[in-house]
Amino acid sequence: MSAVVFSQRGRAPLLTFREGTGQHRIYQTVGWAFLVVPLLVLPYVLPSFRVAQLAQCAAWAVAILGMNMVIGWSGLISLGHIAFVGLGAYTTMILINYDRFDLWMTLPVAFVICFLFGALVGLPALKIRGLYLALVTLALAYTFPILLKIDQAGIAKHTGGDNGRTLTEKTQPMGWARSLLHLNGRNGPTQVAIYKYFIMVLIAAVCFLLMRNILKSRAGRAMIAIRDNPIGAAVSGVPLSRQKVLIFALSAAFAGIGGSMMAVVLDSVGPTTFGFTYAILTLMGLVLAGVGTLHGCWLGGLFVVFLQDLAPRLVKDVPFVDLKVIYAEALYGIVLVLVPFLMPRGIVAFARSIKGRLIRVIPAVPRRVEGAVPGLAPTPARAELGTTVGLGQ
Amino acid sequence: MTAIAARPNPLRGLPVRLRRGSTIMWLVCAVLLIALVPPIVDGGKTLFLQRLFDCLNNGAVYSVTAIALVLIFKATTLINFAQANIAMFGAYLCWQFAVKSGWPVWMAIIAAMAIMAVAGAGIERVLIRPFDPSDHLPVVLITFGLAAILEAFAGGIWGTEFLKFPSPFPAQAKDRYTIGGAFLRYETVGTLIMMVVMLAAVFLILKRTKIGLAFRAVSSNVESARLVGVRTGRTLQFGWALAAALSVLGATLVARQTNLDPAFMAKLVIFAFAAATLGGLDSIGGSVIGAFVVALVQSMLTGYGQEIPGLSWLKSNFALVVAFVLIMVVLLFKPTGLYGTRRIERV
Repeated sequence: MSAVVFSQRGRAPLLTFREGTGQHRIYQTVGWAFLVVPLLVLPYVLPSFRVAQLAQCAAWAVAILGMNMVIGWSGLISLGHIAFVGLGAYTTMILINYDRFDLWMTLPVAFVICFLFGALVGLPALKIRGLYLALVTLALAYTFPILLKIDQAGIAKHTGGDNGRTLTEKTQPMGWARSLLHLNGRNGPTQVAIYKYFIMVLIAAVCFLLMRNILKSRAGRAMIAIRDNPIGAAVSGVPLSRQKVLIFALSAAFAGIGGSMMAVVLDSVGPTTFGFTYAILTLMGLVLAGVGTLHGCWLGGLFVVFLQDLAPRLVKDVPFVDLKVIYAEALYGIVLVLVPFLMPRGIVAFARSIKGRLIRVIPAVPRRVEGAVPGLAPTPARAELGTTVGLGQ
Repeated sequence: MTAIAARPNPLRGLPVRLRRGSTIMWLVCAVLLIALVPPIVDGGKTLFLQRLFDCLNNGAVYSVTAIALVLIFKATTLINFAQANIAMFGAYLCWQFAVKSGWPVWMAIIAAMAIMAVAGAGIERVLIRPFDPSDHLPVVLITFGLAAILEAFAGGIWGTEFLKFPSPFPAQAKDRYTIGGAFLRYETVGTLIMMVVMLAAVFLILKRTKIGLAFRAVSSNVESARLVGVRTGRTLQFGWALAAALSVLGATLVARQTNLDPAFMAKLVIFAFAAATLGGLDSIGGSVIGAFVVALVQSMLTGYGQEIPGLSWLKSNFALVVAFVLIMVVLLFKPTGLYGTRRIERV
């Protein structure tokens, strides 16, 4: 049966796995090992500043996860999630500096505050269709740094205005963490970098897991239905307006968690990290890596941090042209312009299409489906993207 | 769910639109007037007049920029996020011609407008037209990226320091009228006149020329327009060119007061967004009114905020926050704006 269903154009794949067999399980394990082993090994191999950068990547990845929820999975457009990232970061900073909170205790607070703020901002624009959300969020991205500097009600005093603030309580590895992570015998900064890295990766992993589960839940399916066919979704009983506001608020909350992580990684917060340049950078990271994919989020986090390193060097090495560092910023814009032309679904989708040529997984026949037509089992790519089959596509 | 009201008869379009907006408009005016009473009593007539004159200039500039946004939104329901930076780049070109090459300021402005109009048409053809306008993400990404590119290039070519911009009007300290003790600068009058002329030109183009008719047809219904033989692509291209030229004009009119730097229009465009949202994102006349309301609110709030105890934290950049709140409030209570057609689809 499968040979008929999955006979496609082009050459036969190198490897074929049947879902659920032992071979397939080995293949899956190897695939995950490619992701997890570097995560565990890299901090001990790389110099400590690179480890710190990787921890930043984890924070940005969670922020981008929030953006992806809006842009990728629900098909709304938000340009100002950076403001929620900033809000989360400032919440964490203030709670740690003034109320002696622990990092772990600030996360739920940041989550709730960003959720409420997101609902407030999203409420007007999400009730109407069109680019209004992009408009409002763009205005928010411009306004947020200014709100931080209002010297009324102690806002500027708490936020530190233009200069931002450093965290008074630095994150230090505790005894058990030292022995668990084999930190003893390394110098101080390296210890801190590795410890922070593992904390951030842990939080990020939890967030990714949460998001994966959300996507497979009722809310996630509703979200994707709204993106693919709003009318169909409404007919199927999704309350569009409420669902959209909920999604937007939740995505703001995820972005806020990313911001909290950012504050702890950098040990400081300032308005520039949450300003307009980063709005462009995070958007670029997301669309280049892959809109609407989970893997795109961590890849986007890597892009946000490492393209900043790379871009000035790339621009400097262009032969025959004397380009200043400032053109590095143009590079982000050029990427944003080119992605819709060359790689509209991003790198992850591109990689998937290549993988699809080499490796093919034949899905197991679903155990019990009423009135199932043989051969209509969703292909793996579709199942993961969650494209709603049969909603008038 | 998708309540699409029929557009009013174009022959009677203006009066109907005026009637529809008028109730709310009067309300807004009344609220503004009531809000204005204490400052007039408090600070005196002269100060009030001065603040009023201050807002005229901003209002003119916001309205020209807002019209540029509205032109593109009207035809495609897209928002051009690069509009501000197209204008900024045009202003730099104008500076290049006027200061570096020593051209007369007027010639420089017209040259910059022409160049950016061609650039706008080119952007539409190369970057925007390949995409389906109902799929918003690619166009948003492209215009957003374009904004970043233009800003980076302006910074790279002309530097990020503030540059002094020549005024197209007499701008000495003595060049002003004195009305009731308040100074009305020639510059302000000139800007206003320019705005009115531009507005008249846009209206004449839209109402009296063939391409204007085509443009209105396309903004009314793309499919029908295409069916009756309107070349929609070319018409939209014309809209982009017109919008680019207009926004460049706005930038050059305001550049003397703000000075030139790569981000100067990006700050102003939020006010233009607010103006367009308030007036109705698909109404040219409405966005002009919206622009002046926004400018008035900005001028009064930041002007009087300094003097009223307890409001001293209302610095000038706080006006941006006001613009943001205004956008939110309008979208929440009257998403069509004051004069927009009721084509907004609620979900």
